[in-house]
Amino acid sequence: MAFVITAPCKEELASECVEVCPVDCIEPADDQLVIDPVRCIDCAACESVCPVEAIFHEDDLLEEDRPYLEKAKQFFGRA
Amino acid sequence: MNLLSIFKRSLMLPKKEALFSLNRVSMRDAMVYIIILLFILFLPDIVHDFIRSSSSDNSFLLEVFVVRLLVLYPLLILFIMVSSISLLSALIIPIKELLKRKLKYQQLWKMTVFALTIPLIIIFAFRILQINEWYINLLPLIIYFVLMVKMITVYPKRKL
Repeated sequence: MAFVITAPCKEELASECVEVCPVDCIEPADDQLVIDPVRCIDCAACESVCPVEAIFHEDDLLEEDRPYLEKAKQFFGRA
Repeated sequence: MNLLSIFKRSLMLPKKEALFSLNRVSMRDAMVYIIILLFILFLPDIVHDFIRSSSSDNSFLLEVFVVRLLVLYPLLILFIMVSSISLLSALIIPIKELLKRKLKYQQLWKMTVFALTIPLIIIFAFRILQINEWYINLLPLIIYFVLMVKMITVYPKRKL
Protein backbone atom coordinates (compact mmCIF):
# COMPACT_ATOMS: atom_id res chain seq x y z
CA MET A 1 0.00 0.00 0.00
CA ALA A 2 1.17 3.49 -0.80
CA PHE A 3 0.14 7.05 -1.43
CA VAL A 4 -0.62 8.18 -4.97
CA ILE A 5 -0.30 11.61 -6.57
CA THR A 6 -3.25 12.43 -8.82
CA ALA A 7 -4.36 14.97 -11.43
CA PRO A 8 -4.26 18.24 -9.43
CA CYS A 9 -0.45 17.91 -9.30
CA LYS A 10 -0.21 18.20 -13.08
CA GLU A 11 1.62 21.39 -14.02
CA GLU A 12 1.46 22.45 -10.34
CA LEU A 13 4.52 20.52 -9.15
CA ALA A 14 4.55 22.37 -5.85
CA SER A 15 7.08 19.87 -4.44
CA GLU A 16 6.30 20.38 -0.76
CA CYS A 17 5.80 16.60 -0.63
CA VAL A 18 9.32 16.01 -1.94
CA GLU A 19 10.75 18.08 0.90
CA VAL A 20 8.84 16.31 3.68
CA CYS A 21 9.10 12.73 2.42
CA PRO A 22 11.34 10.99 5.01
CA VAL A 23 12.41 8.26 2.56
CA ASP A 24 12.82 10.42 -0.57
CA CYS A 25 10.45 8.30 -2.62
CA ILE A 26 8.84 11.15 -4.60
CA GLU A 27 10.31 12.11 -7.94
CA PRO A 28 9.26 14.28 -10.88
CA ALA A 29 7.85 12.38 -13.86
CA ASP A 30 6.78 14.03 -17.14
CA ASP A 31 4.21 16.55 -16.00
CA GLN A 32 3.70 15.67 -12.34
CA LEU A 33 5.34 14.14 -9.28
CA VAL A 34 5.08 10.42 -8.61
CA ILE A 35 5.50 8.27 -5.50
CA ASP A 36 7.45 5.03 -5.60
CA PRO A 37 4.85 2.55 -4.31
CA VAL A 38 7.54 0.18 -3.02
CA ARG A 39 9.70 2.69 -1.14
CA CYS A 40 6.69 4.59 0.29
CA ILE A 41 6.33 3.78 4.01
CA ASP A 42 2.73 5.06 4.24
CA CYS A 43 3.66 7.78 6.72
CA ALA A 44 1.26 10.30 5.12
CA ALA A 45 3.62 13.20 5.62
CA CYS A 46 3.11 14.21 1.99
CA GLU A 47 -0.67 14.17 2.13
CA SER A 48 -1.15 17.01 4.60
CA VAL A 49 1.37 19.35 2.97
CA CYS A 50 0.08 19.10 -0.61
CA PRO A 51 -1.34 22.55 -1.45
CA VAL A 52 -3.61 21.19 -4.18
CA GLU A 53 -4.79 18.08 -2.28
CA ALA A 54 -3.55 15.78 -5.00
CA ILE A 55 -2.27 12.99 -2.74
CA PHE A 56 -4.47 10.09 -1.67
CA HIS A 57 -3.92 6.75 -0.05
CA GLU A 58 -4.18 3.83 -2.45
CA ASP A 59 -7.23 2.57 -0.53
CA ASP A 60 -9.03 5.90 -0.92
CA LEU A 61 -8.38 6.28 -4.64
CA LEU A 62 -11.32 6.98 -6.93
CA GLU A 63 -11.67 4.63 -9.89
CA GLU A 64 -10.78 7.48 -12.25
CA ASP A 65 -7.51 8.03 -10.35
CA ARG A 66 -6.36 4.39 -10.59
CA PRO A 67 -4.28 5.12 -13.73
CA TYR A 68 -2.05 7.40 -11.62
CA LEU A 69 -1.05 4.43 -9.49
CA GLU A 70 -0.22 2.46 -12.62
CA LYS A 71 1.71 5.44 -13.95
CA ALA A 72 3.79 5.56 -10.75
CA LYS A 73 4.43 1.82 -10.88
CA GLN A 74 5.56 2.07 -14.50
CA PHE A 75 7.76 5.08 -13.81
CA PHE A 76 9.67 3.24 -11.11
CA GLY A 77 9.60 -0.07 -13.02
CA ARG A 78 7.40 -1.74 -10.42
CA ALA A 79 4.67 -2.87 -12.82
CA MET B 1 -10.23 13.48 11.36
CA ASN B 2 -12.22 14.87 14.28
CA LEU B 3 -10.70 16.21 17.47
CA LEU B 4 -11.71 13.19 19.55
CA SER B 5 -9.97 10.83 17.12
CA ILE B 6 -6.88 13.04 17.23
CA PHE B 7 -6.96 12.88 21.04
CA LYS B 8 -7.35 9.09 21.08
CA ARG B 9 -4.52 8.61 18.58
CA SER B 10 -2.30 11.04 20.49
CA LEU B 11 -2.73 8.86 23.57
CA MET B 12 -1.58 5.88 21.49
CA LEU B 13 1.74 7.52 20.55
CA PRO B 14 4.48 6.48 19.81
CA LYS B 15 2.76 3.59 17.99
CA LYS B 16 3.48 3.65 14.27
CA GLU B 17 -0.21 3.45 13.26
CA ALA B 18 -1.09 6.39 15.50
CA LEU B 19 1.86 8.46 14.29
CA PHE B 20 1.16 7.87 10.62
CA SER B 21 -2.55 8.55 10.94
CA LEU B 22 -1.79 11.78 12.82
CA ASN B 23 0.46 12.80 9.93
CA ARG B 24 -2.71 13.10 7.88
CA VAL B 25 -4.00 15.88 10.14
CA SER B 26 -3.52 19.33 8.65
CA MET B 27 -1.50 21.98 10.48
CA ARG B 28 -4.69 24.00 11.00
CA ASP B 29 -6.47 21.09 12.70
CA ALA B 30 -3.38 20.41 14.80
CA MET B 31 -3.45 24.00 16.07
CA VAL B 32 -7.19 23.88 16.77
CA TYR B 33 -6.63 20.62 18.66
CA ILE B 34 -3.92 21.96 20.95
CA ILE B 35 -5.82 25.22 21.60
CA ILE B 36 -8.94 23.28 22.64
CA LEU B 37 -6.88 20.84 24.73
CA LEU B 38 -5.18 23.73 26.54
CA PHE B 39 -8.51 25.50 27.02
CA ILE B 40 -10.07 22.38 28.57
CA LEU B 41 -7.08 21.82 30.82
CA PHE B 42 -7.10 25.47 31.96
CA LEU B 43 -10.88 25.46 32.42
CA PRO B 44 -10.76 24.70 36.18
CA ASP B 45 -8.56 27.79 36.66
CA ILE B 46 -11.00 29.90 34.67
CA VAL B 47 -13.98 28.58 36.63
CA HIS B 48 -12.12 29.17 39.89
CA ASP B 49 -11.38 32.77 38.85
CA PHE B 50 -14.96 33.28 37.78
CA ILE B 51 -16.36 32.05 41.11
CA ARG B 52 -13.95 34.31 42.98
CA SER B 53 -14.86 37.31 40.84
CA SER B 54 -18.62 36.75 40.90
CA SER B 55 -18.75 36.15 44.64
CA SER B 56 -17.28 39.57 45.21
CA ASP B 57 -19.61 42.55 45.55
CA ASN B 58 -17.31 44.59 43.41
CA SER B 59 -18.73 44.65 39.86
CA PHE B 60 -15.44 46.06 38.63
CA LEU B 61 -13.75 42.73 39.45
CA LEU B 62 -16.31 40.87 37.35
CA GLU B 63 -15.74 43.21 34.40
CA VAL B 64 -12.00 42.74 34.68
CA PHE B 65 -12.55 38.99 34.72
CA VAL B 66 -14.70 39.09 31.58
CA VAL B 67 -12.01 41.09 29.77
CA ARG B 68 -9.40 38.58 30.94
CA LEU B 69 -11.53 35.64 29.84
CA LEU B 70 -12.38 37.00 26.41
CA VAL B 71 -9.16 38.79 25.47
CA LEU B 72 -6.24 38.09 27.73
CA TYR B 73 -6.62 34.34 28.29
CA PRO B 74 -7.03 33.34 24.61
CA LEU B 75 -4.13 35.56 23.52
CA LEU B 76 -1.94 34.40 26.39
CA ILE B 77 -2.73 30.72 25.74
CA LEU B 78 -2.04 31.21 22.03
CA PHE B 79 1.28 32.96 22.68
CA ILE B 80 2.46 30.42 25.26
CA MET B 81 1.34 27.55 23.04
CA VAL B 82 3.07 28.72 19.84
CA SER B 83 6.30 29.74 21.55
CA SER B 84 6.53 26.60 23.72
CA ILE B 85 5.83 24.22 20.83
CA SER B 86 8.30 26.06 18.60
CA LEU B 87 10.98 25.90 21.29
CA LEU B 88 10.36 22.23 22.08
CA SER B 89 10.44 21.36 18.37
CA ALA B 90 13.70 23.26 17.96
CA LEU B 91 15.21 21.28 20.85
CA ILE B 92 14.37 18.08 18.97
CA ILE B 93 16.32 19.11 15.83
CA PRO B 94 19.74 17.97 17.18
CA ILE B 95 18.18 14.70 18.34
CA LYS B 96 16.75 13.89 14.91
CA GLU B 97 20.10 14.81 13.34
CA LEU B 98 21.79 12.47 15.76
CA LEU B 99 19.31 9.75 14.90
CA LYS B 100 19.89 10.46 11.18
CA ARG B 101 16.23 11.01 10.27
CA LYS B 102 14.97 13.25 7.50
CA LEU B 103 12.26 15.26 9.20
CA LYS B 104 11.45 18.90 8.51
CA TYR B 105 10.87 21.42 11.29
CA GLN B 106 7.18 21.65 10.34
CA GLN B 107 6.84 17.88 10.83
CA LEU B 108 8.57 18.09 14.21
CA TRP B 109 6.24 20.97 15.14
CA LYS B 110 3.17 18.90 14.39
CA MET B 111 4.61 15.82 16.11
CA THR B 112 5.28 17.99 19.17
CA VAL B 113 1.62 19.10 19.27
CA PHE B 114 0.43 15.51 19.49
CA ALA B 115 3.27 14.31 21.74
CA LEU B 116 2.31 17.01 24.26
CA THR B 117 -1.10 15.46 24.94
CA ILE B 118 0.09 13.02 27.63
CA PRO B 119 2.50 15.49 29.31
CA LEU B 120 -0.25 18.14 29.42
CA ILE B 121 -2.66 15.70 31.06
CA ILE B 122 0.04 14.85 33.62
CA ILE B 123 0.64 18.57 34.29
CA PHE B 124 -3.11 18.98 34.77
CA ALA B 125 -3.17 16.02 37.20
CA PHE B 126 -0.25 17.51 39.17
CA ARG B 127 -2.16 20.80 39.46
CA ILE B 128 -5.28 19.03 40.69
CA LEU B 129 -3.24 17.02 43.20
CA GLN B 130 -1.28 20.19 44.11
CA ILE B 131 2.08 18.59 43.48
CA ASN B 132 4.59 21.41 43.24
CA GLU B 133 8.01 19.79 43.65
CA TRP B 134 10.20 20.92 40.76
CA TYR B 135 11.78 17.51 40.16
CA ILE B 136 8.38 15.84 39.82
CA ASN B 137 7.33 18.59 37.43
CA LEU B 138 10.20 17.56 35.16
CA LEU B 139 8.40 14.27 34.51
CA PRO B 140 6.11 15.63 31.73
CA LEU B 141 9.14 17.09 29.95
CA ILE B 142 11.01 13.79 30.19
CA ILE B 143 7.95 11.95 28.87
CA TYR B 144 7.75 14.40 25.97
CA PHE B 145 11.39 13.81 24.98
CA VAL B 146 11.07 10.02 25.30
CA LEU B 147 7.91 10.08 23.17
CA MET B 148 9.55 12.25 20.53
CA VAL B 149 12.65 10.04 20.33
CA LYS B 150 10.44 6.96 19.93
CA MET B 151 8.31 8.71 17.31
CA ILE B 152 11.38 9.83 15.35
CA THR B 153 12.81 6.32 15.36
CA VAL B 154 9.61 5.02 13.74
CA TYR B 155 10.93 6.61 10.53
CA PRO B 156 13.71 4.79 8.72
CA LYS B 157 17.25 6.16 8.79
CA ARG B 158 18.22 8.63 6.08
CA LYS B 159 20.21 7.07 3.27
CA LEU B 160 23.54 8.76 2.70
